[in-house]
Amino acid sequence: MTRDHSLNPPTTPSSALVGAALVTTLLALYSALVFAPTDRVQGDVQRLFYLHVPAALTMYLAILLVFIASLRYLQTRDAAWDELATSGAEIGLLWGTIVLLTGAMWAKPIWGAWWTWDARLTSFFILWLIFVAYVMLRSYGGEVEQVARFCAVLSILGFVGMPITHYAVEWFRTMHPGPVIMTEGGLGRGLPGSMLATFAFGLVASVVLFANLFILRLRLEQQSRRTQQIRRHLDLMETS
Amino acid sequence: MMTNPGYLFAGFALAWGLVLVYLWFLSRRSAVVQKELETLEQRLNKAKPQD
Amino acid sequence: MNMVRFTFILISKDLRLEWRSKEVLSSTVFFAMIALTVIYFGFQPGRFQVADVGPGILWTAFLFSALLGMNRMFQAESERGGLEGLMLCPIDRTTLYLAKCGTLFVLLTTTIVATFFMFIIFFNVRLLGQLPQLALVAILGSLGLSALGTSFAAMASKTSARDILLPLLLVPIAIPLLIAAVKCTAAILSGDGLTTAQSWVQLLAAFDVIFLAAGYLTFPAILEE
Repeated sequence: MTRDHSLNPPTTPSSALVGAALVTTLLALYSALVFAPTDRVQGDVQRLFYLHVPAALTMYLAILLVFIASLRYLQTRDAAWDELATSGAEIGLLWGTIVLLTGAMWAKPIWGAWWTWDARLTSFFILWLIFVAYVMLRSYGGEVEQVARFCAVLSILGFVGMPITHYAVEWFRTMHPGPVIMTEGGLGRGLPGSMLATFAFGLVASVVLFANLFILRLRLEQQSRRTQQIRRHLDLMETS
Repeated sequence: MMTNPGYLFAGFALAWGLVLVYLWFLSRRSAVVQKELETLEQRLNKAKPQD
Repeated sequence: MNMVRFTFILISKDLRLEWRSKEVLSSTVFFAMIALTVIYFGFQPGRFQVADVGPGILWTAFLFSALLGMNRMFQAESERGGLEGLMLCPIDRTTLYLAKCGTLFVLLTTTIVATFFMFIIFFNVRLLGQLPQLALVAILGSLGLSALGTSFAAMASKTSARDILLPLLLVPIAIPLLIAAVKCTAAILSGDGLTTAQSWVQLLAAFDVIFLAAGYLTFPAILEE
């Protein structure tokens, strides 16, 4: 793998970014738990959406990030892109897990069930499974260079399959309507300004927090590869 | 008046718990790798005389 | 040598080898038989309608035996050093994709035909001139699974955890194919015919096109040394 120094990802989250994470997170939490009005129909459990929906949107961003990084890696074979992809996938998986768990916490009191196979949940679950597959391929895929290529192909195939998966699942579900679903507060449609603002704060906080964890994970990856590189170098030197 | 407070707090706690646990794992792994990196770089500098 | 001819040569070589050893087909067909049997015992006798659960049973059994078959096919190849040998030849890696995909397609189509027959016999299904429609669904389904399977089985065969990796990689992305195949089969078995399931047939075809193209383009990245 080559290393192209024209791509210079940050090595630690700048104090500005960390500060932003703290501020936006506190703001989002306050809005979600205190500022936003209580939903008349769903009660206070609805506040979970201010966490759940932004996390889902952030995971979609992560999917895009991993896809682009994977494409660029296959084009350039620059290790930096692969580092971006693997870090993005791992944090994306974490965010996806949060989406599923907070979704279940919301669903139990509102729908009476931890899980249903409604179209949006099912599609999201499939994406989560693909992230799981990605992370497992990372662990068991063999040596670094091979696994980088394999993971890149996996994320490309997974990304390319997203539209058709979305349609298949949706058509499947419209023929099998599940429990009458209360839409998740129909974003933008008739929502009071305070709720919209809270969603916005939540989204910003989610993205900023993601960026922080992403950079931390990226740094770990860079250092880890550097140690492998040095080891190989030392081995070569000692055997010559 | 809080309705269903249990699920609400459980949801937030779970989400934040996961983030914090992950951060903790990251920092542990990071410390290990950092130490390893320092040791290896020392070895490298000793083995390879600086020109 | 032109690509098409080479593809056919490779496919016929692989199929001839398979015919001699019957390694892959015997595993897939017998596994499908076992799977159908086990799934049958999972249901309460007399409490289910074949038209309802049949298609699901059929494609589930087929999917699992296909996974097994793919792994065996690429593992045998890897043990013989076949892929490495082929890579030394001046052939495009993309041609190799078409060849492997073609071989897998033949094997999977044979498997699904066998599975259909076993299903018809075990579950006493009556087909009134629906064979051509079933054939279409079988072919479209096999093709999609071959397209994806070639990519992922090639990957998995180069790792230490190939048994668990292949299903993990393939199944989530193959879900639309599974849904569509089951829907089409259900339409046929219930007597309504494929005209009522047109969008599902189109989805199957779209799936095949998308993943044949994507698999073709990404295969060189999988095979690199």
